[in-house]
Amino acid sequence: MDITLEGSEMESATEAAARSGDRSAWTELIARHNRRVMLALLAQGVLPAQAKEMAQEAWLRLITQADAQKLARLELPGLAIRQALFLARSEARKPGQQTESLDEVPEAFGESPETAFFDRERLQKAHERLQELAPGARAVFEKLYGDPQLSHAEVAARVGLSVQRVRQIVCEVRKVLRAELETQR
Amino acid sequence: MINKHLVADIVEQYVIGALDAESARFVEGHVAQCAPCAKLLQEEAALEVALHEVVRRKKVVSLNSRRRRIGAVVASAAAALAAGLVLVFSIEGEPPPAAQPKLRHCVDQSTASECISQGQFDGVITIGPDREPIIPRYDVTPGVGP
Repeated sequence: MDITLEGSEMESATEAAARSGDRSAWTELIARHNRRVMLALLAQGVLPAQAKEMAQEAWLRLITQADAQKLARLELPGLAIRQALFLARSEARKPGQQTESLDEVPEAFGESPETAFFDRERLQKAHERLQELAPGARAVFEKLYGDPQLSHAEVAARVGLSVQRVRQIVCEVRKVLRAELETQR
Repeated sequence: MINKHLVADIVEQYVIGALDAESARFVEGHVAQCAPCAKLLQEEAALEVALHEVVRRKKVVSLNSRRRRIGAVVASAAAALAAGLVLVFSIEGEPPPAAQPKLRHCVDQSTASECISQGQFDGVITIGPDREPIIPRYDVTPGVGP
């Protein structure tokens, strides 16, 4: 599948260092990817407080598995997201827990979490809509949502805009793409 | 029961990571007690996750188109090689033509169009201002033959 060829799915030097037990590499990876793990959990209806706990547990499990030499590859954030969602599903299936939203998660979620919410055709159309936007706005958006994922401040520094302006652009582009994705529903 | 709900903009700011710590804690505390706002947060987070995929698709598309371009280069090279072989066999005894550059850079915006046209005419691959290779077309022209 094409998606497996893209940058985020390839093990980076930092990921390899983390897998071999480098704690500072883990710290860097968690700082870089924890937001994506949190978003995946929130998108499943997990409340923020629980999502934080699950994300921490997911990272802890990955570190433990790496220390035990059980990880052949460490591809992030995908692996951490899958681990976190596994925990969320397990939690939801406990007796007395609310299971409705998590049981609706398609099986494909485990392979490509992002495609679970919108099918590929919708995402492709939104992508085409993105290409129609002004190059400056598109560049900001792609730096924030692409790989490697950069912070608002990092993007602002790279494109020579204020952080506030970068956030305005993000909201504007989100509005356009939200409309594109929702009209297809 | 909470009567007032979060403004959608605040939830969006939370999801994109633009809120300060205190405001973020307020949102987290609110959604823990307010089902409609929790649902709104879930939707915003789902959109955020999907947007990562929207951007990622660019790379997938680019990889596919790059593969197609490579395929076109290989096909063109094969066609050129075949044409060269025919030429070698048909012009016995004549010295081979001088080696032509196979790649021409046409990155200057002011002359790019002319440079690319000439490259197409000369049958060489040209690199335009957008750094994309342009493959010459080997069209068969009626009326020209042995």
